[in-house]
Amino acid sequence: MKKENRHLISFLLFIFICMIFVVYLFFFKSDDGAFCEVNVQGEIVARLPLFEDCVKRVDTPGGYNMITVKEGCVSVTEADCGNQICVQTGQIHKNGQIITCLPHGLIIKIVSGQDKEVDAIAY
Amino acid sequence: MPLPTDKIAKMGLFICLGMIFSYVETLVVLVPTIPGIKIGLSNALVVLLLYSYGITYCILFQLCRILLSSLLFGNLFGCLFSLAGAGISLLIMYLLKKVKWIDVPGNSMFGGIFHNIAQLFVAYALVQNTTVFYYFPVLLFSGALTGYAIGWIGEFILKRRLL
Repeated sequence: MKKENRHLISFLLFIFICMIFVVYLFFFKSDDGAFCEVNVQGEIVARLPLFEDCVKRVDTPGGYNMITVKEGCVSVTEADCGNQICVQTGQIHKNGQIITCLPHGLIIKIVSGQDKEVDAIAY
Repeated sequence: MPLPTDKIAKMGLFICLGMIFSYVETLVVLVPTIPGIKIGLSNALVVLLLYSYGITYCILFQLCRILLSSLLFGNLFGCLFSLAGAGISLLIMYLLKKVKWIDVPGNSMFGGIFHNIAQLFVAYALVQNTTVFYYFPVLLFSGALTGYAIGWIGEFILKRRLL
């Protein structure tokens, strides 16, 4: 294959991926959620409503995470994991947003509370 | 396989530079909300090595760099992620170099994308939850962007024929 073609192909592929991302940003805007689900290694251990402020300590095989719900936003305020990514993620409040703490196998996910059939399967 | 002396010396320099790049990357957090987005500076070195010395030196470089830098600056947990990403991206970049469909930045772009995909699958294996694939579109884009940019840098250095 000619050298000019190779440049063109890779540039077009790059533009294509950028366009996929723009389309994704454009179409997948989400609303504020109503609940947050706390998953530890594939199992839901807690389901907290976002309209009530609370602080919950979750113990995992790797250590603990302090989950804080405040004014409709969820954040991990304290954890004893190595990389502290879960704490640095900050506050989340939109549907589908997640906080992950991979060393502990923990995922906090915002859900709307309306899609009951999904929740029924998960429980 | 005995390595020629000049290549041993240059590999030492490469690994040294790669470790510095890994350290710099731990200091710079591009997007705090999404873990896994990084510049991938050492990808430039991988591109250089792949196109000038060949795949064997790449594997050697990645293994030494990841093991040493995770022992020094990180933990074994991060080592797992880096090894998975490096392995898959090297495989993809090697195959794409063989078939010669795309140029150096394009190749590096696919390296970046598959690095992120491999890390996403390691994350999935750890948490056993498909929710981690929420990050996929963002990681796809960031891998493509940084990979393409770093690939340009790699190509510029390759054109100088410094090695």
